[in-house]
Amino acid sequence: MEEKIVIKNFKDVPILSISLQSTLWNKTGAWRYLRPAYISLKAPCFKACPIGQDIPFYLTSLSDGNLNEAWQKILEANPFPSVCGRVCHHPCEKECNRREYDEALAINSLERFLGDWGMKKGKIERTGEKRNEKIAVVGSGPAGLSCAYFLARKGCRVKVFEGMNEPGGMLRYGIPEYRLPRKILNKEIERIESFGVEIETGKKFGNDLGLEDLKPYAAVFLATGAHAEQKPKISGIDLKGVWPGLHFLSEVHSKKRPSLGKKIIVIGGGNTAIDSARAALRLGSKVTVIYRRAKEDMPAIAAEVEEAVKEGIEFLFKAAPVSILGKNGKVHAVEGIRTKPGKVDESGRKTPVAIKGSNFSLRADGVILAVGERADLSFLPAELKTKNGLISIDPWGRTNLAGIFAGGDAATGQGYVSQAIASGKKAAMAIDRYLRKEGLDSQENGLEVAGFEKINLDYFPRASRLQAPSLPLKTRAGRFKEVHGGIAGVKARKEAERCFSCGNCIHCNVCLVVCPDVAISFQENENRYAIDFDHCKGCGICAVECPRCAMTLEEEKWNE
Amino acid sequence: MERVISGNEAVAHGAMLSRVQVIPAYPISPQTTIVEALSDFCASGRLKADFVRVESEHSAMACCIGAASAGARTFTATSAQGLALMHELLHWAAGSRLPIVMANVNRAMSAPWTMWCDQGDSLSQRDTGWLQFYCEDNQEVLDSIIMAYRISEKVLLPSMVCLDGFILSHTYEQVEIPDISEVDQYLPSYTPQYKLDVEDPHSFNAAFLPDIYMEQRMKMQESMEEAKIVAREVDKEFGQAFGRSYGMMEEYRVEDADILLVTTGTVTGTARVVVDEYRRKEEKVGLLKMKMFRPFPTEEVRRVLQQARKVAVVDRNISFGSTGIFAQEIRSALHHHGEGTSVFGFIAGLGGRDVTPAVLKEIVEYAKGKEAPEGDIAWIGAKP
Repeated sequence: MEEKIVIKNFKDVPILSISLQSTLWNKTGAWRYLRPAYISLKAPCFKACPIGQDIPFYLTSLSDGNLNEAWQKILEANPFPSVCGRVCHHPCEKECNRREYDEALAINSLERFLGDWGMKKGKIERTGEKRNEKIAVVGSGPAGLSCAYFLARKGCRVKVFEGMNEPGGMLRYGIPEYRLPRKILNKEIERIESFGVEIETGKKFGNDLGLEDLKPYAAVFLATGAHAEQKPKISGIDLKGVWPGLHFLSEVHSKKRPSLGKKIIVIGGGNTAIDSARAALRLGSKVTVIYRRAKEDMPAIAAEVEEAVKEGIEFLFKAAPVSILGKNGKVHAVEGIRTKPGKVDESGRKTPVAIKGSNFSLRADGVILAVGERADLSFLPAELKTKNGLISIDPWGRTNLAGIFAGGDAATGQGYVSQAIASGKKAAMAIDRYLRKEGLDSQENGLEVAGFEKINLDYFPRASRLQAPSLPLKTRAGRFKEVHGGIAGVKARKEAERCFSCGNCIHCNVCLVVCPDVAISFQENENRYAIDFDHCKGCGICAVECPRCAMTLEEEKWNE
Repeated sequence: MERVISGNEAVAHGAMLSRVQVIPAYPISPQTTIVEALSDFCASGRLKADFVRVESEHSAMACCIGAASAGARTFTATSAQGLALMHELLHWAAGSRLPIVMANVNRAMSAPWTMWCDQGDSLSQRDTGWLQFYCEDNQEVLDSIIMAYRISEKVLLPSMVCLDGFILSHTYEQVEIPDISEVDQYLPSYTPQYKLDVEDPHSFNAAFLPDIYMEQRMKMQESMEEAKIVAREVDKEFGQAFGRSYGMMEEYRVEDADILLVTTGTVTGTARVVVDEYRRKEEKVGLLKMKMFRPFPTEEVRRVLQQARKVAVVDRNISFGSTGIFAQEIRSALHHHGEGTSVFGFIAGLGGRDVTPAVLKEIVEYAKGKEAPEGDIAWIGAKP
C-alpha cells in the first residue's frame, strides 16, 4: 500500500476504477466522525411515579411474556402492586408519551394484573444478607409497611407497631372495600410479613408505647398517619346524624353498616368525601356532595369522581355549608351558601368567598363531614421538630433527631397512597445508609427524560387503550363488590406491547437490522448489543431509527 | 413453444430465459405488467431470482448497480419519467462497466401529462454509455433481451432494449418462446471479471484523477466500437441457434431506391406495407430499419444511404432547439460521404399520435416533390 503506482500507457489504464490491491486494511470504521452509543433515558412515567417504579422495565418483561420476571421487577420497587393497581392516582398515565399519539397506556391496570398474577403464581426469590440491626416502625399504613418491607429486603429485622387491631392504616380503615377488597390487602401485607417483618397490633403510640420504649432499636420510622379529622366551623355539627368521614368509613369497614337515613349530604372534595359518598350510596342512601370550589379543584382522584357521578351521586360545586339544622336533636337540613373564587391563597388556589344572599337549604337525614384530616402530633416528644402540623423531615425522611425518621401523612401531608409508599421507601434507603454510616446521594438520577419528540413513531401502529371491565352501574348500590375488574393475561400482554419503552433499549433489533455495515451484533452472554467500531462508519442510521431513543450519536474524538 | 403474448410478457420471458438473478424494479405505466409478470415468475418459483421492491426508479437502478457489482445477472424495466429519474445512475452503471440489461417501454415525456408512445425518453439518454436497441415486434423484444446479455457481458457496458409503449407493450402477437435449455446453450451463466467479494475486498469507482480519467472514457468508447462487431456476431449466432436474425439494421427493398425511408420501432412494420405499395407501382422507394442506435452503426448506415438520392428520416422524437435525433445522426454520418444524398428530417407520431400508412405516404410524397429539404425539420400531421 506504500508503493506508488504510475500508469504510463493506455493499455495499463483499467476499464473501471478498481483498487489494484486488497482494501482489507481500510476499515470503514476509519471514516467515522460520529460514534453511536447505547443510552438510557428516563421514561416520563418513571419520572412521574412517586414510588420511582421503572415502568417500562417491568412492562418489557410482561410484553415478552416473562410474567415472573415482571413480577420480580415490580416487587423490587413496590411492596403493594395489587393495592396500587387499584387505588393509585397513577400520575404515570398522565405523563405517558403514548397519550400524545393515541391514548395513554393503561399502566394502572397492568400493575394490578401483575400484582394479582404474582399473588397466585409468582415465585419470590429471597436472597441477600441478614443483618442484626433492629428497626422499629410506628404505624402500619402504606408508609410504615413500605419502610419495613424495604429494610427487611435489605436484611434488617423490622418490627412494626400498630395501634389498631389490624394492620394497613388508611388502606384498611379509609379506603372502602369496593375499591380495595380486604382479601387483596391482607395478602399483600402477608407477603410483606413473609420477608421477616413482624407486626404487633393494638399497640397505640402515645398510650401503649412511647419513643423512649424504642431506644433498643437502631432506628425508628414514625408513620402515624393523619387521623384527626378537621371540623368545619359551623353550627349543628354535634347533632345526631352527623358523621366525621373517616369515622364513618371505619364503621363501614368494621361491617357495622351504620344506618344513615334516606338523604345524605357529604361536605368536602377530597378522597375521604368521595369514598364516603360512594359508600353511603352503597348503603342505600341518596347522596349529594357539597364542595366549596369547582370540580377541577377537587383534590380527590378524578377517575373516582367520575365514577361517583356515573353512579348517580349529585354534586353541588361552589357551595359551602353555613349550618346544619336539626329537628328533635337530629339532622333535618343543611343550610348552605354559594361561593365564588376569591384571592389566591398559599396553596396557589383561589379562596372561595361567599356570595351574599345566595343562601339555600337542603333536606338531609344525615351529614358526613370530610373537610380534611390532620396528623395528631400530641403524643410526640417536644424535642422532635414539627412544621405546619407535620413532623419536620428532609427529603430523605430524616427528622431533627438522629436515628428517628418519619414519613407518610404525619410528615408529608401529601395524602395519596403512592406518595406514602414513596416516603416509606425513601426513609428505608436513608435508614440503610444511616446504619452503614454512609452519606446520602441526590434523589435525582440525573437522567434526561425521553419526551414524546424523541419517539420514532414510524415503528408504532396506532392502537387503542385497554379497557378494564367494571361493574354495571345498576348493580353497584347496596353492596360493596369491587367496581373494577381484572384483565386476562393475553390482554395485559397486548397492552404492554403498546408501551413505547421511552428511552430504554428493549432489544428490538432495529439498530442491528438497519446497520448498513452489519456492525451491530447482539451479545447473548452479556444481554446487550455490541458495535464493531472497526466497521461502523458512523452513518447514524441506528441512532436515528431507534424507535425509543435508546441510542445517541457522539462526536468521535480521534485525536484524544 | 408458440404463444400469443404481449410485448411486456415477451420482455418478462426474455428475462426469465436469460436466468436473471436480481430484479430491482419499480412499476410505471406502460411498463407495469413486465414487473407484475416477473414478480409472478419469482413468486411461483419458475424464476429463481431476488425480486427487490424498491421505492423509486433511482433506487431500482442503484440496486441494479449493487447487484451487478456483486456479479449477479441483473435486470430491470422502466419507462419515461422513471428512466429520467435513473439518469444519474445510468452514467454510473456504464462507467462501472456493469452488464445490466433494462427494458424501456417508450413513452413520451411529461409535462404535460401523457402516457402514450414516442421515443424521446430513451433517446434523450443517448450519451449515458448504454447500448440501445429498438424493437419492431414482440418476437424481436424477447430475442433482443437474450442477445443484449450476450453483448453486454462481452463488452461490459449496459444495454437498453426499447419497445413502443402500448403499440408493443400491450399488444398481443404470436411469439416463439425458445426452450430454456437452448437459451442456456446460447447464453451461459455470467462469470464477472470484477466483482465485490468480501474475501478479497477492493474499492470500486474511487476517483480517477485527470491523468487517467480521459483514458477510461476512451476505453468506454472502444467498447462501444467493439459492441458493433460483437452485436453482429451475437445476432448471427442467434440466427444459427434459433433461426431468427435481425442485424443491427435491416435494409428492406433498398435496391436502386431513389427514396429511402429510415424508421425505428413499430413504425417499421407500417413502413414495410407502404414500401410494398410503392414498389407495386414500380416506384423506387425502400426502407432502412434502425435497430441499434447506440453504438450508432455509422459505416453501415453510410454504405446504405449514400446510394439513394433522398433519405426520409422518420423521427418519433424531437431534440428541442435542434432536430429529430435520428436525422441528426444520419446527417452526421453522411457528412462528406453522401454529397448526392438529400436528408429530409420528419417529426411524426409524438405523444402517441398514430403513424399510419397515410402519414408515411405523406412523407414519401413530400420527399418526392422537393429536390432538397426546405429546412431541417418537417412536421408531419401537425394541425395547420
